[in-house]
Amino acid sequence: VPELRFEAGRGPRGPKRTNWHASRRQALAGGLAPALAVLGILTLLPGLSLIVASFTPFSLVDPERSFTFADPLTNYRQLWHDPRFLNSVLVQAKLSAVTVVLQLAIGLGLALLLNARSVFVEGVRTIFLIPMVLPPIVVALIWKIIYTPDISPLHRALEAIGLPLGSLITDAGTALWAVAAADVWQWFPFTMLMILAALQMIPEEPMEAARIDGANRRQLFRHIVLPNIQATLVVAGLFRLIDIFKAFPLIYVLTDGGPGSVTEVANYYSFIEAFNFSYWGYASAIATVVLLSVFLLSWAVGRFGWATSA
Amino acid sequence: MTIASRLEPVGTSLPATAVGVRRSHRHERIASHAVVAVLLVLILLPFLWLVQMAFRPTDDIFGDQIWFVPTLANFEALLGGKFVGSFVNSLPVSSLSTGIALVFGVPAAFVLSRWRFRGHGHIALWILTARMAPPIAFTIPFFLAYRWLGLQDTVIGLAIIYLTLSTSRSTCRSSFG
Repeated sequence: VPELRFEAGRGPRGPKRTNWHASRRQALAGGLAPALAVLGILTLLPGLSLIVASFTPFSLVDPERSFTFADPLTNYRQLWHDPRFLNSVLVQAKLSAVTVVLQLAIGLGLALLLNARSVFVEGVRTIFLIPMVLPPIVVALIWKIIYTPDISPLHRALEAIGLPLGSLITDAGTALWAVAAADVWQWFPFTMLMILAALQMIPEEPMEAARIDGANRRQLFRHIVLPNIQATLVVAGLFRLIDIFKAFPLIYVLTDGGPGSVTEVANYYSFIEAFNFSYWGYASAIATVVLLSVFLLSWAVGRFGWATSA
Repeated sequence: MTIASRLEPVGTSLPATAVGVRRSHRHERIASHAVVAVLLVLILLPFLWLVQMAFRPTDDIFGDQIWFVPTLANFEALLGGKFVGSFVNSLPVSSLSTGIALVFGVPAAFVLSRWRFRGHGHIALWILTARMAPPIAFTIPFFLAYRWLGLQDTVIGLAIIYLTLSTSRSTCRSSFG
């Protein structure tokens, strides 16, 4: 986007320009202010009350003791000694690592495959985006069917070739990977789309020159394609990393955090503490920690993304 | 694959090898199309299974056979059930929150993309965080506030919550990409 920057007071019509400049700024501020006011009420206010609540032992069961700030850090101290919370962080780390790596790998592979000039390939590109545009609850339903042995095409096919398989989502050893597979399926189109866009931005001349100099396909990828899409890979990975913090519908429908707590991420644990156990103060503390991680990752996106795209 | 498909034979000076390059090029093209087609079916299989289940008769839902007589009974049942009510509920929620979000978000997005002022980066980061924030961070305060305000289980209340997402999203999408 070209930046409009007018230097005031230049040229013969200096004073007039300054006037125009001032009224332009006023108009721009007028366009921005309402949105910021709405966003302020809808995001800053809840955010602040979340942080305030996280300093109290807030609970709907015990309203008298709810608004006490006698020991504001009690919830956070408790987090360090809560094995269930520490486990949820570990589960989150495992889920994030597997899904982000697979989504980047599959996205890159498919983007390279689909970045061809052909009527067929250009026609089917859009169809690959279907998993991403389905409502999350529909995606969860699809995978619930696939992981339910009685009605699952996967289980039937495996049984037909003599490899019967137990339910993947009720087995503690496989449940998390089953959820990860569903998430990878849902979101690989996102990384694919971003990488495809980056691939199409690569200028033709250096590729041409390298080819004439006798570079083979691997060299072309390593020395021209990869450096050109590196920034996109990082940003796409960070976006997915942030989004997987919010994994909720899949876990809610597929495993409900179980078996035990093997698929319970921090986000989900916070939900359980609030809505099942009614420990709102403690749940707020968990949500604040998650929010802080998301904030730091968003900051990283800003650093990488806008620094490179600007 | 992509690099190969872009590789147009340069060798006008070497006609003999150019023909060879072109032939292997065509083979590769066919192979890559086949791979794309196979992957397409494989990736869409879970979705297609859902679609075929919708047309399967209820007593045959656990059936093994691939061929069956498709029925619209499931869709007819939808019209008779609670689905219509919930679908009608979605309309005001989505149109209200999208409409308001566009009214506020589009001018803001235009300004953010055209005007580099001091604090631009901070506002961009704020909007990005709001768009990325885990729903649970907003669910807890909103739930408690709604209990107090009596907005629980109301269409307006739901529309306001979706507004948090859609305003930051409509601002974010168009101004930062």
